[in-house]
Amino acid sequence: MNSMQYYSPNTINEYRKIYSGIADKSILIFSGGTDLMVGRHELSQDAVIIDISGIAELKGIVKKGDKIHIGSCTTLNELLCSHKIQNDIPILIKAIKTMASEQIRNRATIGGNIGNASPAGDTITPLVVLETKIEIFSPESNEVRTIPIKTLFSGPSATTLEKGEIITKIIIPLRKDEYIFCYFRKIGQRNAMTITKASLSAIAKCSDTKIEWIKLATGSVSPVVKRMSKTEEFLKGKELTPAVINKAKEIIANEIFPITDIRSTKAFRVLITKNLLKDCLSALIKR
Amino acid sequence: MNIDLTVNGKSVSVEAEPLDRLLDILRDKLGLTGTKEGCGEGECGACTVFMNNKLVNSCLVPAMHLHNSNIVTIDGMRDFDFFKLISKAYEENGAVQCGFCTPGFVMTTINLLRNSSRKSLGDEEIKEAFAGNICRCTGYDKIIKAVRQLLTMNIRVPERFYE
Repeated sequence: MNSMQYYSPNTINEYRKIYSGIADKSILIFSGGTDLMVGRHELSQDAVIIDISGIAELKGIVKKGDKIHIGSCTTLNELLCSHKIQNDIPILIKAIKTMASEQIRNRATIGGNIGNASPAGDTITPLVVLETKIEIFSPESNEVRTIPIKTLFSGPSATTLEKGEIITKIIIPLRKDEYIFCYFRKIGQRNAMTITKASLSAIAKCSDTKIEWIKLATGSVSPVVKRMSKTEEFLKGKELTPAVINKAKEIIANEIFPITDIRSTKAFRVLITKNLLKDCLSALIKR
Repeated sequence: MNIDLTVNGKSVSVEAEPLDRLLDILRDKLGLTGTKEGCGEGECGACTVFMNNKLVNSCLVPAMHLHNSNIVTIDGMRDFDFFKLISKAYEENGAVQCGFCTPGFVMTTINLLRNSSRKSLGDEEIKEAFAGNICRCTGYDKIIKAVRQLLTMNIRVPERFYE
């Protein structure tokens, strides 16, 4: 492998200075590297690597008022071991537990999982139902902007980030008293180290026998992780009878746009998305 | 780039490209061939080592992250008392067949043993701990048996190695 140009800023300000010196070149933002190292021979030799994993401002989990701020370079195992996340965002713990392995979770970062913009990204579906905001730093304007996570993705592996922009924070609103039910399940080839064929995240609030509200997001069955707003709207105020569950399964099947690829087929993805919804609603009844 | 790091308690200095893999540095530059390459994609765990006391796949760690790091490989574990007990438990339970995955499994075993709260783990939790290690010979049952035996033995494993 030829020598690649490489920088490792220690602060966001250093990052900005480095960027302004090489803005005309193709830039590769590197953090945990668990995806990038696998494809390292396909990386352009002209690209300049900027390793942001040493920027202290991009690490850590802080509670600020009614929000949790997670630095983008926080690793998946740091999140898994965090009492703040365990207590306040259990759906994220459920998702991360199904991701990769101890070895990879010690390196892989939440910002990387989001920035990779995979429709199968397993931190993304919980973050979408939680109506998470993403803070982005632009070295061009030297400013940060904050956007809803669902507007970050423009397609498989594609984001609305401008050149040089980096994800700095993941901001999750806390509504612990509000939602009392959370669900995450993914279906893959096997239980360990598996990439999602289809997944479902949900948070909900019920009063007596009725659903007050429910928020649903599916993974790996559309070009991007997507909220299932028609299904959510239908379920609102409903009692979960077998007929209602069957109808909801039909609605969710029409909200997704799965494809056949190396991991699964379109038909199987439709079937398991419907079954995941049934599993989720059954768990909600039993609660 | 020149990188200064500690490997199995010894200070070393190596010349490497930013995206060179820790795995290749260990095997080719430092002659530490106990660490194996299986898949090269982080799936199989044969290349598992400790980096700053955390379990990692050495095939996924770039040289540029290694400066001032503390790496411990399977070769650095041989002299510890707990290693002999692990080795014995693996042998007695038939947990080693072709042996290629064994260095990785042993590193994950060490990680499991050093946390005392994990002593009461059930089989499902042991399996989850080994999510990142693949064995194509044993069918895992014998490895799990060995690990279960080790967990009941009250073995002292330090929180940190070579510090």
